[in-house]
Amino acid sequence: MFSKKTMVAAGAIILIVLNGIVFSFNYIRKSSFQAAAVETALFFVSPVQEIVTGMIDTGEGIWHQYFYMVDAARENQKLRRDLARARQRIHELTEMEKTNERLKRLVDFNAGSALEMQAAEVVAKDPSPWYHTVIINKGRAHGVKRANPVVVPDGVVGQVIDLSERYAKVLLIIDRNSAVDALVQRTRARGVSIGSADQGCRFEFVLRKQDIEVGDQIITSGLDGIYPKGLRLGWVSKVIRRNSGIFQEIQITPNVNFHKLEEVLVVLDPPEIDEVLDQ
Amino acid sequence: MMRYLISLMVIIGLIVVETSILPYLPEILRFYDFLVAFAVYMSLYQSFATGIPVMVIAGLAMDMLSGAPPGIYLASYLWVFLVFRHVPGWVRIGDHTLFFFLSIIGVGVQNLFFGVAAWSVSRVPFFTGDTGVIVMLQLFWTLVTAPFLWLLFHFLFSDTHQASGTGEAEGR
Repeated sequence: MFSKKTMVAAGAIILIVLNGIVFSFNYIRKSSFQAAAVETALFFVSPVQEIVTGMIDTGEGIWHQYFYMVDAARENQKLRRDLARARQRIHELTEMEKTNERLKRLVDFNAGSALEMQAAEVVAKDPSPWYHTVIINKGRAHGVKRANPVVVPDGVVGQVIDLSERYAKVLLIIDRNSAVDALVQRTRARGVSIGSADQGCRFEFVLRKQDIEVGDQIITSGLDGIYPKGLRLGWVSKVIRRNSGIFQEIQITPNVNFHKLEEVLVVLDPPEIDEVLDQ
Repeated sequence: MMRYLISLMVIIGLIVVETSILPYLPEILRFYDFLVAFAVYMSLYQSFATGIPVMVIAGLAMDMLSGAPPGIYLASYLWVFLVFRHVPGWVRIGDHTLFFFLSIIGVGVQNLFFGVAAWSVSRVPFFTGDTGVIVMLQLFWTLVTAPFLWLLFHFLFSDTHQASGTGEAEGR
């Protein structure tokens, strides 16, 4: 009845008219029916929208969180490595600082002494708990000789008893085979400091009549021909005067902490006994 | 040859541990001479020909490094090696248990050697209160660590056992 073109034109005109009607509603005050329809739509649709939006947000959050966690884990690993390196560095620097302090004391001690000395490092200790010797990393090649005294700023360490080209064995004054001719600094009472089993020394052959008190400093006398005169050995920690006998029993606590012995000085030219006697 | 090389490695390793690590540990960790346990192991599991030179090297090395009277370590290792290898013929208990008990006895014997040597030199009683504590600590640590040393020695010498095909108590 109508051609196809006529149908299309009519349809288009109807759509334009409908559009005009719909648009015209925007300018008309909202009716109560329309408000109820919107409210109903919102009541049913919005919760679903809210849930869906929430789910999308959550999914998006998890996705981002996952990547964040991966990044954080990587960063965490890197920071842990950095922290470990920093801690190691701090440890090295602390160790270096302590070594510097010890070496500075050794250098100061060496500079303040007229004796020729050779610094050495303790590389090993006696394998037996019954005997007290240490191995130092200086030997014949460095001018070290048998019976050279070994000291630290705190006092006497011992003497060289064996040596090779580059190493030497030092008998500590706390070894039971060690004996050092010594004096009480305050009263000049003479005796012999002998190593004892308890990491200390006994001060032997001191006459009962000699005035010795706990706390007195014991120094080397120089008369044994090995240790220079005036080096600190230790302090009197116990005095026993028995009713019988001509000697006192005296215990000495060494000035040197032998547990923490790391660097020492070997006296290369100890004064001869004649020089000591002349003094 | 392999046994000698392994023995030499064990000796050097134990000496380094005893001279450079153990002395710096707290006093409560007063370990004993691990080479005594090694001497016990050699006496139980290795032949006379293998053990003697190894014990002589170990003894001389320790004597040179220690301030102890010369020969005391050598004597104690040889004594342990030569005497303890006859013990399996006298008692009937398992190899591991025997090693464990003989190590404790060996440490005691070595301390006795030290005591006699110290007394003969200075005439001062060796086993006073302090030394008694040290000996007790050494025996305690032997009690604790001997099984681990057995495992270590057995692991190190396992190839030589297989190679020789002589089994565990090859030296007997």
